[in-house]
Amino acid sequence: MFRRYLTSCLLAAMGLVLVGVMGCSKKGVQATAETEYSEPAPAVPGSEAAGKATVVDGSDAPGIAEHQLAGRTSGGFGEGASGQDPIISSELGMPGSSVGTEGRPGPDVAQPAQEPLAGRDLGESDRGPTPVEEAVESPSPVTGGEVVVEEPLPLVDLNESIAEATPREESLASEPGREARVPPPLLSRSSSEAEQERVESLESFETIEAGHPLTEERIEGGTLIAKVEPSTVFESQVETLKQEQLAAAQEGLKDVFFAFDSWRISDEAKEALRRDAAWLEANPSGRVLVEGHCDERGTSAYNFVLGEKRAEAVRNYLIELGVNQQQVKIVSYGEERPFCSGQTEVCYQLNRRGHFTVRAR
Amino acid sequence: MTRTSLFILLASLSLPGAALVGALESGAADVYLKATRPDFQKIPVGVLEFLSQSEARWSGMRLAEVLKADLRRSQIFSVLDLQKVGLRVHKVDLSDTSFFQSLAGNGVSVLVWGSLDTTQEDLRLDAYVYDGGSNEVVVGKRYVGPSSVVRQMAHRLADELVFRYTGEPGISRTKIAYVAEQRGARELYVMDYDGHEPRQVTADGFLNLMPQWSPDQRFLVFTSYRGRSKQHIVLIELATGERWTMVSLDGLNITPTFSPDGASLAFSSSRDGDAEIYTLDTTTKALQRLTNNPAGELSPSWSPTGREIAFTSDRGGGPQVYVMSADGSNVRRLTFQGDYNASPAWSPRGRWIAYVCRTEKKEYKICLISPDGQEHRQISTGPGVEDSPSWSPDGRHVVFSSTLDGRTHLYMMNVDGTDRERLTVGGSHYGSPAWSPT
Repeated sequence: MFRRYLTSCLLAAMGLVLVGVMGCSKKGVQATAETEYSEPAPAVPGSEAAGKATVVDGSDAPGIAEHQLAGRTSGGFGEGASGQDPIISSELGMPGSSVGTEGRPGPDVAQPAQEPLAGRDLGESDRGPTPVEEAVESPSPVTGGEVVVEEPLPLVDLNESIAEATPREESLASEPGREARVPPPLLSRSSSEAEQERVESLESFETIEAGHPLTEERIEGGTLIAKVEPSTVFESQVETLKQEQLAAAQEGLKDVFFAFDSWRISDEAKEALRRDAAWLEANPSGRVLVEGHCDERGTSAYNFVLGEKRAEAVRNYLIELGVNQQQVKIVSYGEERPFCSGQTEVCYQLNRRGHFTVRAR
Repeated sequence: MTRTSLFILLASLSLPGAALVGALESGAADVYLKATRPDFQKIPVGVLEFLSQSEARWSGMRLAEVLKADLRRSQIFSVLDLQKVGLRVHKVDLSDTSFFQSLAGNGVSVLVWGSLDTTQEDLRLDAYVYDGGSNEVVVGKRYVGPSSVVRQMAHRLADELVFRYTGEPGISRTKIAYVAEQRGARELYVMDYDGHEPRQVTADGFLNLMPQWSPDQRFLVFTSYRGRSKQHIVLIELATGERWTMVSLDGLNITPTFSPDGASLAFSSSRDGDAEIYTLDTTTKALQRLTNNPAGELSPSWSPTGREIAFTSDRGGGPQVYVMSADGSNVRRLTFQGDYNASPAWSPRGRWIAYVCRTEKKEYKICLISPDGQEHRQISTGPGVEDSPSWSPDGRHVVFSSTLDGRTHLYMMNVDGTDRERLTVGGSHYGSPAWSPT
């Protein structure tokens, strides 16, 4: 009897405890989104910053200003056109680099294309000779796990082609007083700051009696994104690409095709490449670009690696056949420039290709 | 009451409690995953159509629909069909206490209503919220703005409600950056998280790819081409369109992504012969190589603490997901199922890493794996090639691309794979979605 009484007391106590815990955890589930991974949940609702990383100092990127070339017009597209040099570039000035073309073909061929620059988004402009692209750098010996820290690269490459100050229509560059605009103050606020701001503005619900005037908030129209529309840049790109296709077809340079997930040069491919090699040897001033492509299966990111392997395989085979490596450049387009857009095996096969385009000198 | 019946009463009270707690704690991960939370834990909310004058009538209905969709997606609320629960009210009288008290009886915990008026140039939304829990009419807000922002008003109101009930900012005002095809070219766009109001960001006529947001949401970083044959990584300021070239190395310059504090940009480059992951210090511009392996390494994804990086490597033969510390040390493999696992995306809550997994049937689907590698799930099924998962800031949704409808479109789904919705319409190709960080 007494035992039963004791058991029932125990169960009652357990029940109360469990009900209490259940109540708490139920609220807990409501209040937090997901169990934090190695971070405590924010203690106060709304103080998201507790779980976030440190606040970034709001100053402009320090070492940049002094390296800025004076007289550079600002705005528009970065390198090559106007505005800023690449922050990290493989061009001259890298420590320990040798001016050579190993690994990658030689100087970028200046584009003959007239790529009119219009509007805010200035397209590529390769006016004048561009400097040697690569610089081979012998990587310092690194064992697994060690980290290679390289010296900061100079921010300005004086051999970089400076676009002539061509007048641009309605671009930022024409605004006076915006010369040599410093590269972005970048991330003057971390996401935690931005989020705090949002959160503060949300703490506006108040409980009041009916009849009270409402607190008002204005939402502005317009958008936080600068307007951009396809312009003549767009059209000229499309046109130039067509020309190149035509040139390659006229020369009889044939594409080579690959098996799924593979970059192996098949026997048919070798046939085609022998003919392509013959053309290249007969035209020692001829320059080609071998593009590596993939079909749409797989991830778009990894397909860049696969595309590069395909282009490299083609190039290596051409070199094996005796072609001068200066004549062949490669690029990977992954799955981004498909030949056809169907979801059939035929289309997939047509997309898995190494494609030749003739480059002007 | 006899001792026996008391005993039975108490026992019966404690057992369901125990079961529930057991379910919540031990299977907490599963419960979270199943419906983010099961319906019985969502707050039932009713949204009345916003009353409006005849010209604004269309907006009043649209506003209510947008608000309901936002509340549903938050996973905090279950949006009731008010007709079904027998509530046929058009105009709410603030002083009618009996009406409010009857709401609980109809299963409505929260009621939202209001009016939408047009003034000369503007729309004016007066929104009211009744909170059953506190039995109070919580006076909401008045939103004023041009008619073009009617959707933003609904999004704002939804975020206010989510914030009130959870303490977190909602996701209704977040954006998704993505790539869309335009006559063979691929350009960057930004749209609302629900697929509306797309805005074009680039129009260069070639390829602008793989956008990611800066933590302060002012910039996108992406891969572009110079002269169509040389890749580089570019930063674009959304408000002005101005660009800076961040990285221009030989070979591939792909998959750029900022660390959560913005101090570092991680990316992949094959300048040394094969793709490796590097970080660029955004203040000192120092370049650091993190991986050192003859295989290809790419697609870095930072943990929310910024201390670790998940990435793809094919050092094991085919692509698999690995994790390393942010300085490149302590590399460990995460995925062991299947022969193709790539493109990891670490949830902003840290709980899961989403990635693309290839099934036995050679389908490319979206999978989740816990950062310790212990739990893994496939959360998307069916036909189609899926790619590029990206998380909402609340960690409850994933946006991704899929070819299941023929062409590649963007979709969002809950973290457990439910409520899949298509976000894009028309066009020929959409890809590489990136959800804004706030």
